[in-house]
Amino acid sequence: MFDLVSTHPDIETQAQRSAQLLAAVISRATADLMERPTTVERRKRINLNEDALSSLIFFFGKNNERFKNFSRLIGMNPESFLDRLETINSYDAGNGNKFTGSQLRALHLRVVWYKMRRGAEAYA
Amino acid sequence: MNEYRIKISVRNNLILDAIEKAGYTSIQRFCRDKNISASGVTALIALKTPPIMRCGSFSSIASQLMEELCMLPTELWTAEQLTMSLKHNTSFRNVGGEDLQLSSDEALKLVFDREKEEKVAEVLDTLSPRAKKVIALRYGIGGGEPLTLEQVATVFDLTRERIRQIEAKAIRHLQITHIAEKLSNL
Repeated sequence: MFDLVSTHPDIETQAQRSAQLLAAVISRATADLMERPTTVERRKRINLNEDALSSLIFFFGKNNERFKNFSRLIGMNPESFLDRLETINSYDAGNGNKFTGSQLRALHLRVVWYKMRRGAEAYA
Repeated sequence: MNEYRIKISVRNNLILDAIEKAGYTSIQRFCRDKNISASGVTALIALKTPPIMRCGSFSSIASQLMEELCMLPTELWTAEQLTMSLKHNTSFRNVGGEDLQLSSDEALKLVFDREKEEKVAEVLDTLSPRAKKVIALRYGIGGGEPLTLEQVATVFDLTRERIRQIEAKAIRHLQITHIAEKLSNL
């Protein structure tokens, strides 16, 4: 899990704990995206994981104000976070982050699947 | 991004302290007893009007106040307030504006912290009572230290694993609360 807030020195205790909960929501959503895909998901390059779908909607949905609000409240730039989620892939494993190649591959698969789906919807 | 409206009031503590030392806890009562305009005194305390007029003499309210409190101008106003109001009233207000700007950072931080807590309280209200309590205990929200899974499990008389599951489910639930919201995003 990510520790985005505990190093802020001048934050009040209650606000810090609230920020930790908000950060936990974001980190849980990210972790769900990295869940190992099933064989069917891998072969068809689709997402069938409900938790991961919720996370994708949370991050990239049409109305992702909640994610943006949470990010802003913990002092994180939501746009750069989303950019990183979109661009990260298995080649980045071990390159300044602690995620494995398979985790990043799963993340990449799901983000690409969701983007293609959204793109197809927009085109239709 | 939300817009904030912050109200910051600046007060002259020297006058307030002097009135308090004179044995009054209320400005209104002080003004009624001494027969001074309460609105005038309030304006002086709130630094809305300067004690010295443009002509260079003290305003009638300021003079009355000094008389009744038996205090010198320097005891009721800082040198900065007195000299600036001598130059021009607007410069006095400009400096007040700068002071407000400086202190607004702290005020913004307070608003930011409060918003964080309110947001958490708002999203926690969407959870079931048990999940809400588990999250509150695990993260120490609403007072108290954050508890471990084991400690929370003891409180609910459940296993540690079950508490972990409830917590995970609750945190996922906080991502998107309403089904309608979820469907509209599909």
